[in-house]
This record gives sequence, structure tokens and C-alpha cells, in this order.
Amino acid sequence: MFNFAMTPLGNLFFGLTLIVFASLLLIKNERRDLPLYVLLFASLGVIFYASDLITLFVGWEIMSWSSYFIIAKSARIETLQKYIIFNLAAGFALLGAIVLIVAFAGTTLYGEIDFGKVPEALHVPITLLLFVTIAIKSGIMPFHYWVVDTYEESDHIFSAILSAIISKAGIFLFIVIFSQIIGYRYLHGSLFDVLAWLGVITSIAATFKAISQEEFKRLLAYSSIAQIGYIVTVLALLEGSGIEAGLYHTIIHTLVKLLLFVNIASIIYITGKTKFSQLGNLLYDYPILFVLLLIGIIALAGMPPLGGFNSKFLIYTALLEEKKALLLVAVMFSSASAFLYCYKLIYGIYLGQASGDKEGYRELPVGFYIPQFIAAIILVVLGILPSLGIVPLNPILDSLGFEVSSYGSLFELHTAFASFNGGVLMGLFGVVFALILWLVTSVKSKAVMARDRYDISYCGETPDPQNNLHYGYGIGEELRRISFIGVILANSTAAYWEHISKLSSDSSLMLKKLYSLGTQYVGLFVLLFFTILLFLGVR
Amino acid sequence: MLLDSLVMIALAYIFGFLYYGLYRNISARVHGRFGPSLAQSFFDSIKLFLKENSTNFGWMFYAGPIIMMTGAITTLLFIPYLNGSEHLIGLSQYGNLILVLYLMVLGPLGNAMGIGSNGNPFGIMGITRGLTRLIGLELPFYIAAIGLMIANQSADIGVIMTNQSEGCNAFTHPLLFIGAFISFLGFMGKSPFDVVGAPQEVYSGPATEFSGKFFAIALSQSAIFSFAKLLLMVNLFLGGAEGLVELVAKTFALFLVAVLVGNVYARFTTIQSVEFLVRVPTGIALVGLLFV
Repeated sequence: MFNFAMTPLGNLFFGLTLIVFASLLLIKNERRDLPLYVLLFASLGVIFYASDLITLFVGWEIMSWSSYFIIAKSARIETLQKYIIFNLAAGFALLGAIVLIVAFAGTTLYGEIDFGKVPEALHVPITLLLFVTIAIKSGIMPFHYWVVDTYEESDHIFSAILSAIISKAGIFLFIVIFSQIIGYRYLHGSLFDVLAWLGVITSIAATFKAISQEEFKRLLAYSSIAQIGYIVTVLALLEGSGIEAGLYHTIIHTLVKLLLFVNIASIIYITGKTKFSQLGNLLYDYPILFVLLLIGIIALAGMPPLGGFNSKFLIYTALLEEKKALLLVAVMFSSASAFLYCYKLIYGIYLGQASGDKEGYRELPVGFYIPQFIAAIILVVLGILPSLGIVPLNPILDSLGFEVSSYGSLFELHTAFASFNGGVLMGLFGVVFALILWLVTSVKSKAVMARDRYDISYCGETPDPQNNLHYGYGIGEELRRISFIGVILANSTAAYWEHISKLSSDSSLMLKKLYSLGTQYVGLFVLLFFTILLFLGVR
Repeated sequence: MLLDSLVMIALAYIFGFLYYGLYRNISARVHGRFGPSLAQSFFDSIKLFLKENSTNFGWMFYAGPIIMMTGAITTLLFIPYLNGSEHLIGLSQYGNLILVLYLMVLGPLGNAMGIGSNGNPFGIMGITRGLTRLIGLELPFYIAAIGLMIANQSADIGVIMTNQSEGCNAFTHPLLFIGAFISFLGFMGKSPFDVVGAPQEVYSGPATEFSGKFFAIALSQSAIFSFAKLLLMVNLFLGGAEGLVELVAKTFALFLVAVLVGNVYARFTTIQSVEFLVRVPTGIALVGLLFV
């Protein structure tokens, strides 16, 4: 009944799942919901290794439901309702598309489906149904409404899984359905152009929303939406280079979000606080966590010399090769603006001045460090050996029938537009840094250690503990005054979805009236029903 | 290659400070003063390097300027000095324009980390202004860079430079050049897009609390980084240079225009400069992109 097959694509996604779950397993789970995590893990395996559409759908549903029960342990009821309504809609849309494909193709097996048998009139509806599924799971606007609240209110460890792995299920579905099952020759390019723009508009809006957040989990949730926006944009190019860039960014984003979410989970575990305004100056108390977060944000911002730059480079060159100049401008703009939220994340928690006292802080179990170290080490290694990330991607491109990109050495990353050498870059960076450090330390000069945190130049005055000196955590507040950013920050899709919700509740009220008209009408309905049946029978 | 790189750094250091001295002199003449001697900035940087630091705020505070300097030098070495020459090209064959654009942000990040760690709230004000302005500054420059990359079908700075033998990009893509040049004024820290910093001797700018050798490093990196940016503009839009004399002439011409413009205009607030940058130069560069 259920069919499975090992594919290079499945291997990549399952490999990432394995890294995330295995490393998170070492963190002691305070709640006893391990069976649900196991179920979730199994469902992801089913999705990634399924070889027929029904198996895929079953896996998809188990994933949605097991996540629901995990989220239900900590989230508010409104959040849960949002989660379940959107994810049910995603499931129904997927089921609808599957039913339409299978009804005409006559088989559910990936390898045997001939999309040519599906009438042309149905191609656009099927594509749109799949878009809805992918957009909901990946949080593409306007379907991202459920994402941020769910990320914020989930268990801190589960947020990492949501962002690192579950958000990638949409990406996986995109590649499997459109590249493997349907095939690009049946797709309408213009629809995918719209999707590409939706992806990049999502990332710009989400980037500015992220900058203005006060809680770090919400900031990271918006950041996830923005990053997945890039992936959808390059995948929608429907080219091998786009898939390569999208999958590379999938790897990087999984690692980065694993690192960042576990890092802030550690901070929440230690301090019990979730807002930038409550923290600050944890740098010298938790230097290892600080350095790990620094690695995370450098990779998130896509700055060299870490692995994050490789995927940004591939995304840009993929867009350049397709001459999508405006899309590229938008992606680069969003990416450049992301520096601000990256900095806000590290400043608000680790730098600046401490807010409040540090009483009641807990000791951090070693388990929290392991996922972060694993992700950080891989990110650094990918910085030195950029083509190492291409190694698992080439079999995927090959199996999908695209040209495989060649690499001379693992140190170099080649595209048609340009190449760079990660080894030289990292080496240069290290050597220059070491030389300057040596230069600085070779000239002896003694500096007086600051007496305390208030020993600063403060307009000729001496601040005292009553002064709030950590107001820098509010980076991004003033962005509202820039008109185009103000427009983004002042608007949200909430009003739109509330309107939809009101419409549907009104229409169901009307339906309800039909049922509550009174017993005398029941006979009338029965009569009407049989008349229609009779009419149809006569015809 | 090692010698090549060292010469490149030395040249950038010398010319960076020389231009900085000239900037102080020219500004002084505009204001009706005489200004310091040309070599004053060198002396300042060396003197500062040998002076004691005033206050120590921990290792991250000190790592900030070092990361800044590393960012500046790394950026410099990925930009070739000369067109079609085997010398003074550094490591540019291992990099490309996209890499350089991203390396340029590494310095500001180091700065932001160092300043953020000292706990001075004025520092973070400067950083926020700087990073916010960067949103506006990068947009037109990126559009121009994208236009050039598409026109040349390559992101290699060397290729973009040599393809200009028929006529430099400033004339063949004038709108891209104008857009990029307005951004460039901001990247050079010139009015009207500048953010106040300690080198301007304002008490509480972004570089608040740096002293002694770390202040010297901050000053030196800014000199080297300015030269790297001049070099990038010359390579991308003015056809690069065949020899050192041409390089100095072209970078100086660009620098002079930036200084003169900077002296004429008053400073925008951060909000104003972002608003202006995302409208005017971005619009110009986008129109330029249509003609690529």
C-alpha cells in the first residue's frame, strides 16, 4: 500500500532532519512528550522517502497533527486555532491537487505519473492548489499569518524544529511535485513569476517586521519567513541553478536556525526572560553562547567568511543568470536590511547594559551547547570548503535531470558568473586578524579596567543604576518614521484574515438558519430533495 | 603574492591618510582656515598607537576595531589595483564583486560589536544610525553593481574592468554611475549622508570610548577602507588604471568631487538620508538598469 524509495533529495532532507533531531535529543525535555517527537520524526521520514502521493499525504497529515499536539502543550487557544485552520487548509489543498492528478494520471506512484494525461484546463488550478500548500507551510505572504504566533508560543526547543525542519517541508514538496512529478514543461512560467515576487516581497516585509520586534523568538520567526522567501524565489525560477541555490540555502538556514533558536532557548532557560528590554550585557557571563550566536548571525546575514555567504552567492548568481535584475535588487535589499535585525538580536541580549538584576539565573545544562556547536562547526567548515555543500546537491540535480555543476576543488565555489575560493578567504581573514592582534599586543600599554558598567562617557555626568542605559534594545523603532518602512510596519494581513473569518462565520450562520427553521419545513426539504432526485433521474 | 599584498596595504595606508590630510586641508580652505599639515594624520595615527588606552571594557570591546581592520584589509586585497597587470592585484582572482560587496559590511559589523559591548548608550545610537543609513546606501550601489554584472555577464571585477577599453562605464552606463556615485558619497562618510563619528571630534559619536592604539586602528582602517572604496569605484566605472600614476589621478579626482560635495551640503538626518537614497539615486539607478 505505502511505497517508499531512497532518493538523493530525500536523503538530503532526512539527513538534515537527523542532525536536528539527534542534536536536540541531548537537551533534557522537561515535558514528557517524547512520543510525539518520535511520531513527528517518523512522519518527516515518511514524507521525504515516500514514492507515491498517498504516502506523501499521509506523512504530511501526521506531521501537521503531531506538531499540533506538541504546540498545544504551551500555546494559547487562538494560536492553536490559527495553526490548525491554516494547516488543515494546506492539507486539503494538497489532497485536492493529488486527487486531480491521480484521477487523470491513473496512478499514485511518482515514477509512473504522466502529467500530460491531465487536461490542460486543470493545470493552473492544480498549480494554484499546490502553491497554497507550499505557501502555508513555508509562511509565504499572505499565508504566514499562523507562523509567528506559533513559533513564539511553542516550546523553545520545538521552535527550533519548526523553523529548521518543518518549514522546509514546503520546499521539499515544491521540488518533488513540480520538478519530479509534474515536470517543468507543463508548468506556466507566469504563475511562477508571481510566486517568485511573492517570495521576495515576503522577505522584504518580514525583514522589516523582524527589526521592529521586541521579543527574540518573534524576531527569529520573522527572520525564518524572510529566509524561506528567498528559497521560494529562487526555486520559482524553475532552473537547475535555482534549485541548487535554494537547496544550499535550505542547508544553511536549517543549521543557522538550529543554532539561533537553541541559543535563545538557552538564554530563556537561564534567565526566564523573553524580551530584549529585560536583558543585556550577558556577554561576559556567557562568552561561549555569545560567540556561538555571533557565528549564527554572521551566517544568517550571509557575510563571508562563513557558510552563509555561499548560499547567498548562489542565490544571486542564479538570479543573475536568469537576468532577473529586479528580483535580484529586491533580494539584495532585503538581505542588506537583515543586518539590522541580526545586530539587534546580539545587542539586545549580550551587549549594552544589563537591565534588572541577575538573580534566579539557572545553570545551563551541557546539552544545550551540543546542537549549537554542531551547527557552528559545520558553518565554519562550509566557509572554508564551500563546494562541500554542493556534494549532496549534485546527485539531486542529476536525478531531476539538470546539469550538474562541476567543482575543481572543495575550496572553490563556481558558477557561470563568478567563483571564489573559501579557503583563501578564510585563510586571509585568519592571517590578517592574527597579525593585527599581534601588532596590538606587541605594543604594551596598560589600560585601567572600567570600574563598573557605569564607568562610561555620559555627557559629562555619571550615570547611576537608576538610569536606563539599555535603551539601545529598541533598534528599529525609529524605522517607522521612514515612510516606506512605516507602511510595512503599520500594515499586517491580520485585518484581511479577520475579514475572511467574519465572512465565513456569517455564511455559516445563514446555513445554520436553514437548519433551525422549525419542524414544519423538514417535510418541505425532503419533498424538495426527492423532486430534484426525480428530475435528475428523468433526465 | 605576499609582497604584492603588503605593497597594496602600504599604498592604501599612505594614500588613505594623504587623502584624509587633503580632505582636512581643503575643508579648512572652504571654511577660511589654513588647516593642519598634510602629514598630520600620519603623526596622529602613530602617536595614538603608542599612547595608553584610557578604559578597558573587556575583550569584545578590543576585538571590535581589530575586526574592522581585518574587514578593511580583506576587502582591499580582493580589489585589483591595476588593469591587466600581473602586479598589485592581490588575491582578486580568488574573489568577485559580490564577495567584495559583502566584505565591505564586515567592518561596520566589527565596529558595531565593539561599540555595543562598552555599554555606552550614545555608541548604540551612532551604530543604529549607521546601520539604518546603510539600508539606504547599499540599495543604489547594489543596483548599479547588478547592472554592471549583467552587462558584462560576469561578477569578476577584473573582467568588468577590462571590458571598459571601448569607453568606461561612467559614460556607457551614466545613470548607474550617478546612482552609485551618490551612494559612494555616503560610503565615504561625506555630507549630506554622513553619520557623526569621533574623528569629527564630537564627544559622543559611534567611536565613543575608543582610545590609544584602538583609536589609531579605527583611524587607520578608515583610511585604508576609504582607499578601497575609491579603488572599487575607479575599477567599476572609470575603467581601472594601467599604471600607478593613472590610479592616483583617478582616485584623487573621485575623492576631490566627494570632498567638494561634502563641503557644500549640510548633513541630512538619518531618516532624511534613507528617504532620499531610496527615492532619488535608487530611482536613477533603476532607470539605468532598464537600459542594460
